[in-house]
Amino acid sequence: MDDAGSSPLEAVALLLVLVLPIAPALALYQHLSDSLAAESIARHALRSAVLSQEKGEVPRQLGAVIEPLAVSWGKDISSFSVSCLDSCQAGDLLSLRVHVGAAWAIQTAGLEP
Amino acid sequence: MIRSDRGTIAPLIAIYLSIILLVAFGSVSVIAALVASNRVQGVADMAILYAHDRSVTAGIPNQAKLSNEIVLFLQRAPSAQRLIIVSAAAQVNADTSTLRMCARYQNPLGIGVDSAIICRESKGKSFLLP
Repeated sequence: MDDAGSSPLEAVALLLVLVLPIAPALALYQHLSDSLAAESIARHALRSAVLSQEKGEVPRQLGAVIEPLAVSWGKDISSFSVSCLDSCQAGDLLSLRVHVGAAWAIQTAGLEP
Repeated sequence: MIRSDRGTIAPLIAIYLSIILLVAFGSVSVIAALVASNRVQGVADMAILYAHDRSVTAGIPNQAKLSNEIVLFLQRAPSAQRLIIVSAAAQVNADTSTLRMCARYQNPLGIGVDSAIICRESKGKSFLLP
């Protein structure tokens, strides 16, 4: 059997195939890293905010709690929102949704009954 | 003496490629499991705190009320909506409430694949403030 062709050309072509998966893999890692950060930030910020309030009071200054957590993760928070399940009265469920890049996480805690 | 080599490097590249894919899939699975377990732990923590707060009388939680409140939290909380709760067992031991929860996290990677069943435990305890 006789083989003909260019070894360098084959090497370049196949190396391209090796390098191409790196871009989507990096994007996936970035997304997972953002998800991990969002989960952690939402959980700790919500707990801290709920504990720092008087009984049944809805936290107003969540930004001040979230910012240091985001800095410790080395992430920028795209946005965050707070919502109550019912009327934001004592005993209601309070949710914090945090967006980091394309990832988001939501955590829910009960306001003091 | 000059020797001439013939052949193809395709098998070598194929092995490299398979190693890269294996490492990528492995590490992505590990990180996705971390994300999922964080979510399950977070929901379990918040559920036990919510239920303990509402079931405690004079520092001692009521077992039946604790279980009811946990079920209520898991049904209503938006954070629990992306979890498929497989089991949630509440237990009271003196002044300490314990929740052991097993769940799947739906679609943690955003590609329609659920996580494996993840079990996490959380405890709540009452303290008297001076």
